[in-house]
Amino acid sequence: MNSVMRSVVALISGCLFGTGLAVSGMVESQNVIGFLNVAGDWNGSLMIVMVMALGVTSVGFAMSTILHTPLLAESFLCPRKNTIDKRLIVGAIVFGIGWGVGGWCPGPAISSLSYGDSDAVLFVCAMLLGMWIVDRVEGRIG
Amino acid sequence: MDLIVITDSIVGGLFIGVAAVTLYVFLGRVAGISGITWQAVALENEISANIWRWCFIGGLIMGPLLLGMLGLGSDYESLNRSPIIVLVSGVLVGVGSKIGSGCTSGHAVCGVARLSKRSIVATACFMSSGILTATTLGLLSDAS
Repeated sequence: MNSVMRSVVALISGCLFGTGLAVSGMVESQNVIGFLNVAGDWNGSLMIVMVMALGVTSVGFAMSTILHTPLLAESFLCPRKNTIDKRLIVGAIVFGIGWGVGGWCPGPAISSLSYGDSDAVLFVCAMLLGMWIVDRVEGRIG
Repeated sequence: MDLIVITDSIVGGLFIGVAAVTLYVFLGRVAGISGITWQAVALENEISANIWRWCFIGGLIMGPLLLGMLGLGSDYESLNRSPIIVLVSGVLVGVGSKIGSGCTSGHAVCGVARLSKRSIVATACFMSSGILTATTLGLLSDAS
């Protein structure tokens, strides 16, 4: 029963997330580029979206510490790593370059699939390809 | 920016925040979309462990559809950009989020709120490189 409930809640959470991305116009990459291109016709909507989302998550995560376990799972699974390494920095910089080129990050790109946009299909496939390449290369090295 | 854009941004941001808190409080999971997507397709997990991930991804796609059915959909238009640009940006986003363990959702929306040192650094890095890239490309296209 819990696993069914978990699926339902995950679906609702995804729906809320996708709705938020659509309402705020973050699915439209030109709005993201409009924020990142500070020399152009600047569009501050991404900043408002981010501040509002962070406001809710900051309060929500802080309040969730009163729970010993999640309501439908055995434990909270947070990334526990706490060291700043080269991987984190290089990865984030590369991610930002891709974000700056296309104006899409993973969430908005996936939500844009709902509009049947072929650009979004290509982007999501390319993104998975990029992840797969890293996984393969590291598998071979590691 | 007109008032409608500001209101939409505020409402959208609240939805995103509530979505992330919901996933955390009920499932104990951080709403990091690059990680969720990779885990969902990576064939490393048992199918049963991935159901919630596919539900979340399905929700991401359903959200805008439901909004459209309620007559509140945006006037989304495909930009029909050069496939090369889309391909390159997609690969970079995939490579970068995999190496850097997260994207805008996991690091910026969730990690910064958890006061994760790593996420704060990652967010500063991708915001900087994103601004630098988009601004440079914008100036180049203005010049041409």
